[in-house]
Amino acid sequence: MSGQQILVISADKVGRRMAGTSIRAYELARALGSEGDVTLAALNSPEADGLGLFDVPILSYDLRAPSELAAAIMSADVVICQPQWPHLGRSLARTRARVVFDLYTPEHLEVLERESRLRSVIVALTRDRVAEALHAGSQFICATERQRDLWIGMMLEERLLGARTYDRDRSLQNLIRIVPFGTSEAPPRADGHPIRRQFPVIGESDRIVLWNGGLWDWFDAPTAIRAVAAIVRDRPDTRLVFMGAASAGPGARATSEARRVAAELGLLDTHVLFNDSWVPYDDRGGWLLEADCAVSTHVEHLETRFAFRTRLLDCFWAGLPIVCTAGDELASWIVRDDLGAVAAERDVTAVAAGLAAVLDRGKDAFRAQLANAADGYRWGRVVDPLKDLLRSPDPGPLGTNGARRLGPRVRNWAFRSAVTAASTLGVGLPEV
Amino acid sequence: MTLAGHRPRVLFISPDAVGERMAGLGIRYTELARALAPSCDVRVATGAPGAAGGTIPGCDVPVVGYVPHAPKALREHIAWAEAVVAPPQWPVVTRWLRSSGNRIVFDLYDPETLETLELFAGRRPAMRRLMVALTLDRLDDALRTGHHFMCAGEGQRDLWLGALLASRAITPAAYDADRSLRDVIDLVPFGLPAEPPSPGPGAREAFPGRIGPDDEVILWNGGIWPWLDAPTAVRAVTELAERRPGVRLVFMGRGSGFAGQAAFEATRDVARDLGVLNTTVLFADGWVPYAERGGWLLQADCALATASDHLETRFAFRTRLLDCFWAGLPIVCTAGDDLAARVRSEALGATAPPGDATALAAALESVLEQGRQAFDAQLSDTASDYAWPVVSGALQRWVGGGRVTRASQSVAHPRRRPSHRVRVALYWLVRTGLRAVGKPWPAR
Repeated sequence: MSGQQILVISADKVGRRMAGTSIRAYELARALGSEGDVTLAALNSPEADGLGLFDVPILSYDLRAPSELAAAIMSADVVICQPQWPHLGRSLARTRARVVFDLYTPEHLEVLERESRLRSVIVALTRDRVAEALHAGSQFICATERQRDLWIGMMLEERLLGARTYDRDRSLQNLIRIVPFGTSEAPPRADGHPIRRQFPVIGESDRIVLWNGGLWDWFDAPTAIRAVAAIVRDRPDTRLVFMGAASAGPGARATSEARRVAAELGLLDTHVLFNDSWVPYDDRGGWLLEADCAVSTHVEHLETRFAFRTRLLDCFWAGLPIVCTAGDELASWIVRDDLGAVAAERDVTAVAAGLAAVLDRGKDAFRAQLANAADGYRWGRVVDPLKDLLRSPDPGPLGTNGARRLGPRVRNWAFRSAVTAASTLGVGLPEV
Repeated sequence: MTLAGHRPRVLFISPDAVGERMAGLGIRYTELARALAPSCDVRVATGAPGAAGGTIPGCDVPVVGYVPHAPKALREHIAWAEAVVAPPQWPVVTRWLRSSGNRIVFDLYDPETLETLELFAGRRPAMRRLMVALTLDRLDDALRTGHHFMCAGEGQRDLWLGALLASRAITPAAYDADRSLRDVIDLVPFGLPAEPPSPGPGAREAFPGRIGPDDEVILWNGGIWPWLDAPTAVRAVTELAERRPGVRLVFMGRGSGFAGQAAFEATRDVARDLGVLNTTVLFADGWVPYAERGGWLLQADCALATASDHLETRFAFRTRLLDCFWAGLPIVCTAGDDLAARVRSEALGATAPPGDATALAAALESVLEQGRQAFDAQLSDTASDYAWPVVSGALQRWVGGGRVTRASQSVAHPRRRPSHRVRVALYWLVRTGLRAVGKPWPAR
């Protein structure tokens, strides 16, 4: 199999600091080294190749004028990427390469959360993009069972699961497989006491409950705050720390709501602490190591139903027990493998009881189980289903006829014209 | 939501017979009608010939009739109703529903689209393509017309959410109104009869002399279908019989039609090749009558249900497993669908990966070793979740909402794609043509 040209496209920058998308693309690229010659294409990352950090060659591209990337797509044997905007989508539809779409973020659900005057346009464009990918892709990967069911439903409604596809593969295991997020092979690094450095109010022997991620509308921070308030009455040495509580940007609304609840309970900045600055991805290990328990609560919501909760994986990796809302696959493993505790949605008493129980047992009681769970999620392991897909014969694009609805075709054309015009005039694309 | 003293008028449209000899959807709508009757005025329309007239036993819900592709009789009932509950319909009825102003609840409990792919396998390709396209057209129309959708399990719900999103029926405004979309689509699974199963003859009476008093009966409580994996069940029990010679695998039913007959014969051949046919593995003749299943379930020691990893099995709702909850019979089944996940997480028996006879034998052994009593409490707890008044909760909530005003519509109505429009026009043409010459709609 070696010798085939594999192109993995990261929709974001790669470099010293990387967002989840780039980390995933990089880890997929690395793991596929056994299957051929891999190149990682990364958005606006001209310096990345010179950093000496990455063991795959990196091709930087500019979304406004991605001619080099388009050429790489045309000449590759395998392309792995997320659904692309129309100007790249056209290359993906025309290439002879096997195109595997990575559908690990249901973007068409995420955009529904946007607050923008352009929301309905963005929603329509994103749905077009996703539908286009389902037609143009040969095979697909996603992150959870739930997502897989959602995508199969979309394929059905897009009329992509006809007799031809079905007869070849009745379980669709050769069409769409699950590749969750993975954990880094390197253990987290301890770097002094970053949490206590940030919040001197926390005493040396205090117990830290960490909300290890951002605050978004679909999370339910007030329940976590009220649960900690219930514990603080008996044990004032308990502190709740929000690791990514930006007062600006998309999470601002949820953050100010959480601050309000903490202030009402009289715990703001004493027992409930908000970190306003961003913790670099590489430094998160130190925060996780310093904490005693992680908490993550949410309400039922399309986003939480279909998202992969990477933050919980981070806890496995750092040996941090978890108290979270019940209802998904990861939560059921937390119960089964004794990795912490779960509670029903909005159940303050149950969250408090879970936190108290986990804190009393101490982190060490969970260490072995968590290490086991983390091992099951090593990148080297989670990429296996993708390798299986690439080793099976290429079924060709799922959509056989180019017959598309009029609306998407018009929007595609308008988008491509806008990009061409913008790059001719040398103006930037608006952030969408 | 309900106005004080107002009883919503609800119409169920069942393609199957209701009353004495009922099939799946007939049972479902009879029971749902009964559950709604205390608070609503209900009518059930049936498309099965000769099934109309009278009322549903146990309540005064009238049963009315219609002819599936000449459904004129439905019009007055649709006009009478405020809410209509039905599986996806053919174009004529869909059009009436759409213009009625009624609250429309589509029942997506049966993944008909996936079944069609399977049932028409082996037919002429053009015929099969057409049947699949027509089934998808009906689904498409339902997604574009309905206000609410009911389905059987969380896995199915994810499938249909995907379809709803692809059909562009979920607008940003609908999402803002209900971010979990539970008001658009929620679970109304199959339920269980209110009365417990009554003891009666079972496998021991059906196979005199073949099952000793101390032998253990493993029951396959349903038919044998191509998407199930009966051969693996036979292999597993054969393997187990080497360690526990007293085990018997009893198949309670066969499949019907060409596909069902072929699946039965393949299973019987496996049993014959392994030398266990009519000794360890027993096949009942024909079907055990539905009303007598209680006796069989009460007598058995464990139920067995295996399926291959397969689209239909992933999204189907296995009512045969519900029957086991009802009768307190522990279950060994293959993992992969919602109910199997429940069997595993609530210790209602044991699960094994699809196609793995050795794991299945081990699962059977552990369940038989523990005995029925060990599972009694969990099974009866689970059964209580499936009482009809409980499972119909979402439906009760929806029909109480009255007629739909434009403002309360949660689902957008995107346009049909061109090929779909062509097929709908053809349907009208064929239907009108057949009516003109006085011929009935051809049976499938």
